Amino acid sequence: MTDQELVQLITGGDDKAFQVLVEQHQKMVLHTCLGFVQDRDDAEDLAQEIFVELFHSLSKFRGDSKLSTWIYRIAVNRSLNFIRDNKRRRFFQSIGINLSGDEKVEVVDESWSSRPDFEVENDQRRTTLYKAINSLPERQRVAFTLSKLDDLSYQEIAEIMGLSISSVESLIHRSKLGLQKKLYQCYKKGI
Amino acid sequence: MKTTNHNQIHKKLIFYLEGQLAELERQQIEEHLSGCGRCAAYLNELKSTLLLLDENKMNEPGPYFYAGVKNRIQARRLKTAIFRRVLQPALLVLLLAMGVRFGVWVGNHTRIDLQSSEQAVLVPFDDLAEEPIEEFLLNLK
Ligand SMILES: [Zn+2]
Repeated sequence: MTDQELVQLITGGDDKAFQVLVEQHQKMVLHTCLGFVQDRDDAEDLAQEIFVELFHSLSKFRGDSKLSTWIYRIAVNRSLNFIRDNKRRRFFQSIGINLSGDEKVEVVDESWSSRPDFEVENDQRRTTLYKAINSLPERQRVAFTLSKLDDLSYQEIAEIMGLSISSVESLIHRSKLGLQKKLYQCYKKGI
Repeated sequence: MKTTNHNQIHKKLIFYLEGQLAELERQQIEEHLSGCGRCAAYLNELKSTLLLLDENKMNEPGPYFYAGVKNRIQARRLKTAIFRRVLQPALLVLLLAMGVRFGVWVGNHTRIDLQSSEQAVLVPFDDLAEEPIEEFLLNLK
């Protein structure tokens, strides 16, 4: 079945076809979300919301690009919006205004004391790594995430981001330089 | 070994790990690493850190992922239906009531204005402006 045929079935009200679309793409959407939003629960919530948005906007799919490219585009945009909203929320919380009303209680993670050393080390590495990735300029971050965390080719990233392949190459090269610099700074502090 | 050498090596290590360097550069780096414990230790750390990127691909969606999506779609439909059936008509009635009240208010205020403007029109009334010039000349005779 082609992308276009699948979309036509869904917009015609075929629930089974929508289930097929979700099951075909749920892993890729979740991985994209996790690349931007490292919390597993947040990422899964976000991935589900992306499919809801997709369901409502499928009638706009013209088939100019592959369906997966279109889905990636929505996933990246929604993930970036999530991060921006989170930043805004954190800013308001820092000045004492709670927008959502629900207070998230920070639980101190003391589980490290009973865990093997390599796991504790990896937790520190993971924190450093994602801190470095998250501090990259937005377009570098998107290109790097799609390349390294989603394993997409430069051609696919170029289509998703609406850029030329050489621009994507340049973005990824700069992202790696930036990342390397930040990781080294953290490493130097740690030794 | 110069310090600048170490920095130049650091900058290239991420590309070295990914096998993206030209043969000559790769050889230079390996030569440096074999004689520099500091850079070799950092390479190991960098390698362990970047390996964590692969963890992302091991994540699987939860077993009720699709059910969750369907629930969200239904919840949104219900919200839209409630808005259309209850909130929208209520909003329309409210708007209508506000419109009527505004109409009454405008009516009350313009009545006063009209009275004053009628006087304003009556005072400088000029016959000449109302009478065609031909009729005026005829009446002169
Ligand atoms: Zn060195």
